[in-house]
Amino acid sequence: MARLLVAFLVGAGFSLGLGISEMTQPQTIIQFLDLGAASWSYKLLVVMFAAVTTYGLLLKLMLRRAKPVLAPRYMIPTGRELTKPLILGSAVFGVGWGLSGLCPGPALSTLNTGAARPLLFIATMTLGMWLQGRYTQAQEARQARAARQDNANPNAQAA
Amino acid sequence: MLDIVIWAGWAGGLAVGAFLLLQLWLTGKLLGVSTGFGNLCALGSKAKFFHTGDFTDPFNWRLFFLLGLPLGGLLGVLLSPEATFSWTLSLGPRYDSVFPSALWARGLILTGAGFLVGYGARLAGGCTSGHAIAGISLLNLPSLLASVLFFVGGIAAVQLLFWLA
Repeated sequence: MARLLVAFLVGAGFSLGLGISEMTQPQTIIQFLDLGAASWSYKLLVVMFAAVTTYGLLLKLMLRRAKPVLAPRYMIPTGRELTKPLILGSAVFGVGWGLSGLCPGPALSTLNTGAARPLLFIATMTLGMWLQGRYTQAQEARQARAARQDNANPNAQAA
Repeated sequence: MLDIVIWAGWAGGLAVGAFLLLQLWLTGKLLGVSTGFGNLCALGSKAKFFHTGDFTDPFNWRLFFLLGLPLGGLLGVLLSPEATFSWTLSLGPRYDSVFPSALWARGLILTGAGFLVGYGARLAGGCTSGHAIAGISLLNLPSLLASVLFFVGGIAAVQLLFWLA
């Protein structure tokens, strides 16, 4: 129960930070991506720089302790692979981010304060996630089927 | 005015980084918002794809982390004298100045953008919080490239949209 409460409060704090730095305002994001405009603002970079340095410096301190507070050990993925889906997905994400000035965190953060905008965004975001999952599953099933067929009939390729 | 804007950026960014790391320190696992949200969908859906790892239990900390997000947003509005509740589809004055303010156009943009963000985030295995903040802090090269591509895609979209308008 303590774990859940802590996670809830951490989420609230993270979200409050997004609000203070105005990352929840599409205007802030668009003003940065709109290079060369008179209204261009580098605020997004300031926020990202502050967040990344804070995270990076505290990470060093954190790792001095052998294990996390509420779990037996750290499970930090190392050496994520550079794959085609990662590249393609990131670019697709970027286009959506630029079009709306919204990404998942800020959209959820403003859910109850800017209702119509985030609601519509989150609804279609969920649809996008679902479709991506369906597509991946279908692809994996196809690959598994093809592998089974190859095993059953090793000479199929030659013919 | 500029000073206030930049200081709020520092303070907010610091909080974002600190709370994201606090999450890792407490639970020992990295969690970005999009991945967490994908897991949240598991509660209302039988789609197998959502049910990966230990998300079958509705009382998991990922869910509560996500539930905290609207609370933080609400607190921000209540604590700030300037911020207000808004019930519009507006994407800010700069956007409105170049793009038609028709309701259907905004709705269409939001619909398309939301879809691309959802699809892209799951395909890339993370969004801004996971790749751009946690990933870069951990000096993870693929995450760095993902973040660069977020910006490349974003800049291209904004430039094209404003050029068309």
